[in-house]
Amino acid sequence: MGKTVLEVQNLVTEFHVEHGVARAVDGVSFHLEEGETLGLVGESGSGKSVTSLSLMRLVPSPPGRILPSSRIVLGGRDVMKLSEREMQAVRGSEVAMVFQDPMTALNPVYTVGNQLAEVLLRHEGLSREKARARAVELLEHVGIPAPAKRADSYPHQLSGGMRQRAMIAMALSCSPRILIADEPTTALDVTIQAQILELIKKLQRETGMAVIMITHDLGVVAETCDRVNVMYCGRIVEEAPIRDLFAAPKHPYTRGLIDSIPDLEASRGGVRKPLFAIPGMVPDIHHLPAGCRFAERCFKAADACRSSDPVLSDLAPGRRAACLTPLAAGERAPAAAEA
Amino acid sequence: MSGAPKPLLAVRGLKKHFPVRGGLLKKVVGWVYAVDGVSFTLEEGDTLGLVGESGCGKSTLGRTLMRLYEPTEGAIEFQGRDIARASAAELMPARREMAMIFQDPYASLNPRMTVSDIVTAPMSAHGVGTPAERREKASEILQVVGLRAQAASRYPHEFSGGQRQRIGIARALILNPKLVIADEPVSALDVSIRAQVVNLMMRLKERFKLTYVFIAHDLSIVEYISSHVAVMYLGRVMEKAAAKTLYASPKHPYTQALISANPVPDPARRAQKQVLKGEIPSPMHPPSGCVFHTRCPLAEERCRAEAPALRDVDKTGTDEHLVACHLVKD
Ligand SMILES: Nc1ncnc2c1ncn2[C@@H]1O[C@H](COP(=O)(O)OP(=O)(O)OP(=O)(O)O)[C@@H](O)[C@H]1O
Ligand SMILES: Nc1ncnc2c1ncn2[C@@H]1O[C@H](COP(=O)(O)OP(=O)(O)OP(=O)(O)O)[C@@H](O)[C@H]1O
Ligand SMILES: [Mg+2]
Ligand SMILES: [Mg+2]
Repeated sequence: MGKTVLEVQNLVTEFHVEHGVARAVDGVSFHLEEGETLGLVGESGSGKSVTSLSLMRLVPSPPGRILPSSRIVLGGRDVMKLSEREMQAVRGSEVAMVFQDPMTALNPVYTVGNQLAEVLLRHEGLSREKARARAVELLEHVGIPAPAKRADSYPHQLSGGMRQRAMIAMALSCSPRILIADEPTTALDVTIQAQILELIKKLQRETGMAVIMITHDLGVVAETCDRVNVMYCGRIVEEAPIRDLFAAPKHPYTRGLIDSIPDLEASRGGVRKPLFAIPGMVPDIHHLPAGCRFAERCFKAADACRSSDPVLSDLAPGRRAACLTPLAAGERAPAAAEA
Repeated sequence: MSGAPKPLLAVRGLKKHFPVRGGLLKKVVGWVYAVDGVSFTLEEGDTLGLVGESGCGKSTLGRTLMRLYEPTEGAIEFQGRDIARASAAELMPARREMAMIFQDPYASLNPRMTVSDIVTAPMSAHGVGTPAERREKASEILQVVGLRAQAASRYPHEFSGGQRQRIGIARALILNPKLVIADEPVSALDVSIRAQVVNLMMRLKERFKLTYVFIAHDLSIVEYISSHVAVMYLGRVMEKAAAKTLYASPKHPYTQALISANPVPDPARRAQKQVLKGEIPSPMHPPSGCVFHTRCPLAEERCRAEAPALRDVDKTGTDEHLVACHLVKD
């Protein structure tokens, strides 16, 4: 096992809104090892982005608040105890982030080259001339053609794929040990997605950085991650090494997600069965049910599931699930649920 | 009626170009060749999947088929009649038989209308039924798509994404159309909800004998739902075949790259991707010859000079396998 570069314990992030307090992230614990790619999967609103913003201490406050009992240990230091000034040094050099929409990270009024150079001036203390040269190098490194020319472009003059490359260049400019990629390819076409995922892998091989890959696409997870945490309603409901997760998920929610992807091998063989559909929908975080949050959609929920809240427990080395009755190998919903 | 079955829809040489205006006088300074010579036929009961990257013209094609956009050139034969240039009055009967489902279940429903008014809007537009009959039809169709009849008096914002998409589907089906053009109907939905809507669309297809044009960029869903698939690139069809054939033995280098790039949700089958270089050129300035040649790993001199025709390369004698590539052998 590699060295642990990030340890998160009982992270709770709340939002204070008109009609009360919503816990977007509710007691999340996980760790990240040197050089690995950890997947964070879950549906819209499950708390993936708030988790990653919390790690960077970038949750807008108000309305957001990270509870002080949360522990985030980054390279041996407790992030919750750092001053904002110290935190700024951590961002960029320890952890950097790329988002789904590069426009949120790139400033529309500066050229891409100037923005990159600015970061290098600030963090690495390079001279203006050196910073500019290094910026062009970085753009070249992330596969932007004619980088010297492109450095003078404004973000809106670049295509979606090129902007994403520019943002990756920016994220990597101070050689962070951890890259958090929040849906980095969701807005891109498949052929461009393949280019960007390839690029992230290449950079990871070169620098040994660890990657947290946030996505709702199980295909992307299967192709990029070593280990996965599955989120549902602000909680981690399952953790597993990538192959185990797909071969033998322990949580009925994970099972349902995997079964709702078309099994093309089977349908190529002839019969096209209805897709498995998880019934119902994700509960609203303002009106969470008592007990297990997935119970009302779960094919095997028992009375106990509706009254007691399952904790994420160890099932085997590297495997955790928050379920009173974790699935046995091969156990799944009896029939494709009616839509 | 007798003889060979006529296709429900036959499209020939269809083009839709958008003018690009510039300068103070808003003069036309160029054209977007959004759909640039598309031909295909669609038999009753089939589902044609339309795939391709962003901007290749899928939505424009769908909207032009519905005559929401005026075609620039070409023929759209629906049930044997060319509607490409039909007047609004002549279009009315065809319009009743065609319906569209849109990607964004948030934007495509008027927030100030009740669900009942939304789903019966096509009845009102065609002067079908009395208000009482429309209300009755609304509650019937809502149940068909898996919503409670009480939903009728509520407003779109009270529903989740998946439910809103069901409302959009109910509206599309209310006049019993023959042809439904669905433009990315599940792309905005969460994984667990996507399967519900796909299943619903499949069930409704059986029940009402629908014919679908299913536009999507998710290749797995398209393979699952379609009987035939057409792959578009820069306004043109690069390849079209039965879904099974297309996915099992894609012939066009672009189709091959697209399928290879599609992430496989199975870590046991991780494979080296065939990563295409470069980006999609602007549809304002499509490349000469084969429009794909700037990214094609196999492109030769001829590809830069001469546009390949879409031709049948099927050898099994069962179904067409159309490919527009010089390098694919007959
Ligand atoms: N600034 C905010 N104010 C109030 N609530 C917020 C805020 N940001 C996030 N939330 C809430 O926190 C919850 C988790 O949101 P988050 O963005 O982490 O989801 P996600 O898993 O990243 O979803 P997606 O896949 O859509 O990106 C949601 O219910 C969201 O509405
Ligand atoms: N109303 C319009 N006026 C001008 N240009 C348009 C119009 N609608 C579409 N276009 C252009 O036509 C081309 C094709 O667009 P279209 O929306 O049909 O692509 P698409 O394949 O549906 O893409 P996506 O996957 O992003 O939905 C694009 O370059 C687009 O910018
Ligand atoms: Mg998010
Ligand atoms: Mg579109």
